[in-house]
Amino acid sequence: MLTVPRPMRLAFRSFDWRPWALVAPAMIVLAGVIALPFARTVWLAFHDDPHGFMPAEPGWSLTNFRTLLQDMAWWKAVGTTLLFASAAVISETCAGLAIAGFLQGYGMRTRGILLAIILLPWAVPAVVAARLWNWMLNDQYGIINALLVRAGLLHQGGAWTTHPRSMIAVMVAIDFWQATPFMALLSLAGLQSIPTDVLEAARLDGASARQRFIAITLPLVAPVLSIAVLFRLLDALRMFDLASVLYGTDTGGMTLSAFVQTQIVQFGAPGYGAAAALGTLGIIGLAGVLYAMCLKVPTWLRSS
Amino acid sequence: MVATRSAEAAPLTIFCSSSGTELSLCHQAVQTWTAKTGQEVRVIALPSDWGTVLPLYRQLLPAAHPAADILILDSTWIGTLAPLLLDIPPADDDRGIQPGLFQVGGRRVALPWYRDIGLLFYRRDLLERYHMPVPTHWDELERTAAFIQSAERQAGRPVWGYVWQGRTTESLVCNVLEWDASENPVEADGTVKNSLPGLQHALMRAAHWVGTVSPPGVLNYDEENARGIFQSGQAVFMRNWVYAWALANNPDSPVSGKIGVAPLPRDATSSATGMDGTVYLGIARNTEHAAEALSLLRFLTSGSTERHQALAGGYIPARTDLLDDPEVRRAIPILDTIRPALSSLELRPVAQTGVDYPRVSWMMANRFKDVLRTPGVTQQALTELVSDLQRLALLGQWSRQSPFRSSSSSLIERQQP
Repeated sequence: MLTVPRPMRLAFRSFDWRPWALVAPAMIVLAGVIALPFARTVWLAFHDDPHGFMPAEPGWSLTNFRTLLQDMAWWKAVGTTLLFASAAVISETCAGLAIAGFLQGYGMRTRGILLAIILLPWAVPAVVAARLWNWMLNDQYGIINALLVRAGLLHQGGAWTTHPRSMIAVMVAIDFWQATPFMALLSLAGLQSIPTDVLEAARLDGASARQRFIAITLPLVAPVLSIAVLFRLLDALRMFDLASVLYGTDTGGMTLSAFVQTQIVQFGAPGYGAAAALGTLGIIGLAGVLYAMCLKVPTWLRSS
Repeated sequence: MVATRSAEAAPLTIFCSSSGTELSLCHQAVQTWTAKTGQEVRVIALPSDWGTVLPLYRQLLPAAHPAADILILDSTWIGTLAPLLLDIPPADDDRGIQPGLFQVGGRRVALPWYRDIGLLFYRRDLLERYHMPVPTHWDELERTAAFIQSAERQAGRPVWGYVWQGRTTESLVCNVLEWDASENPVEADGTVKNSLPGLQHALMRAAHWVGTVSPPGVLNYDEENARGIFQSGQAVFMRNWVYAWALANNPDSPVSGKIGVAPLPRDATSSATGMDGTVYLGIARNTEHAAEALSLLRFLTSGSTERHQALAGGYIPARTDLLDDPEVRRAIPILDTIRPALSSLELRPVAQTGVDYPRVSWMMANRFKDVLRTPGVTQQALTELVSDLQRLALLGQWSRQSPFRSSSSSLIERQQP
């Protein structure tokens, strides 16, 4: 510890500008596209500017956040987003891992073909997918109702997107259809990084398939999988397309991003929208921290 | 912006709807004016999605350089855009316009261009088959719809009784306020009603329709979904705007010639029927050619232009004397039947709530939807709606100002508490 100050002071005295010059263009671009808009958002959020037409009231103010905390529609959107994200990520991870395990049993070529087929939904833009599914779920003309009625499971076409619970379920189902291939791909990469000799040794020692999966595959695939889950989680928490295309401004299916967009674009309230955007950022950050803590639990359990 | 504009060289700009007939009528009218005055006018077609126009106006109108001079305006946008619109000086023949000039906070900011109104469309052939009259009360509509629906189903022809707009949008607000026309949550002076027993009754009744006389998916329908069902012959009654008449009577349409139209039913207590959906014209406040824009605006809303629009496109004129014109009556055959509805205006609380109307409408649509989904929560949802609106009214301070007061910018100035 005592040796630290000296090299630091040395480094300070002989300041080397060259690395800074090299990263400067990147820093300037980042400042332009991220730091400035973000600073503007913070400024807007802390100023009382109800309609965006007039100059905001002078001075910093917490009005927007006070209103936000009392806004039932906001809290409903928080609930919807968290429910959607957790349901989607958990189901996609489980299914992705299962598909990867299934794919691993095939040879290189078959696996490539199967993977390409499975990946197709991932290539569909979310807005297109939402419109597509909305038509398939239509109560009068939709193919899903037609099939269910023909199969005798339904007496008449059901309205899948009218009740709040089924509204979220529909969003989860579409997201599942879209993002499971992505999780399968990453899980497959994780599975392939596991050295085969470990599994062979376990098999020789008489470990059952379930024991091998729990004790060897899962811990070894976890580092790759946890990163993939983090990506999916962040992606799901900022879901906008499905909510906006399927439900518009219906608070029954409104996610946080859709809430922010509604405030700014539909109601022309930049200050309140900025406050809601910062709130959304906070919720996503909290979810990320919570996720990181969950990852630590197994290690902590083992060590204690 | 590509060109730097100088005040003399820049032509007058007008935003028109991009729908085929309307755009060509707009072009024609503008050309006539140009031939008269020698002024160049640029016509810009708006995006076809009406919902994206208000956000577009919000971006364009406060800009330092005006992008448009004359704007086509939906009646629901005017309150929120009023601070950005120019005052329109009164003229002698304003008295003949219904609804009159749109006033927000005492300022006249928009002139009616053509009328639109919520109407009841019905299958004339089915009503005749069962010898039933066109319903004039909501309970009667429910009975008639249920009767014909079950009779037709027994005969092996599946139809629904009544389709309307239940999607959580402005249209749902129109539908619900029409169910009890006498009860508007926000009164004309901007005070929020303390309780809404009439709407509660109307909503409970409509919640019962969902899944019985109306398809369960009606809660997702907008105007086009409802028209799709009605026009393919799968519904006895439909609530829709005037435009549906021409399309449903198109030679390709399976119900062409078999339908009728009437003012919407009402409750025994109320007289007004049919939500007003008048389309207005206004001028951007930052325009560089106010005088020319005003002259074109007056030309577009003149009797002769409105008459031409009625004859060529079936647009209902806002000038009431044209409604008696024999040629206009021949061009718009439904005019005689819907005349009573046109003369009794039912308005949404746009003028009173001003800048906040889009938010007010959103709150109403969502609470109404909650009730239609789960009728058990009616009382609670409406109580919450009232308290939400009252809180918003306090923030926006509507109730302190009557829409007819003449202070010019009271809507957007928020007094210190």
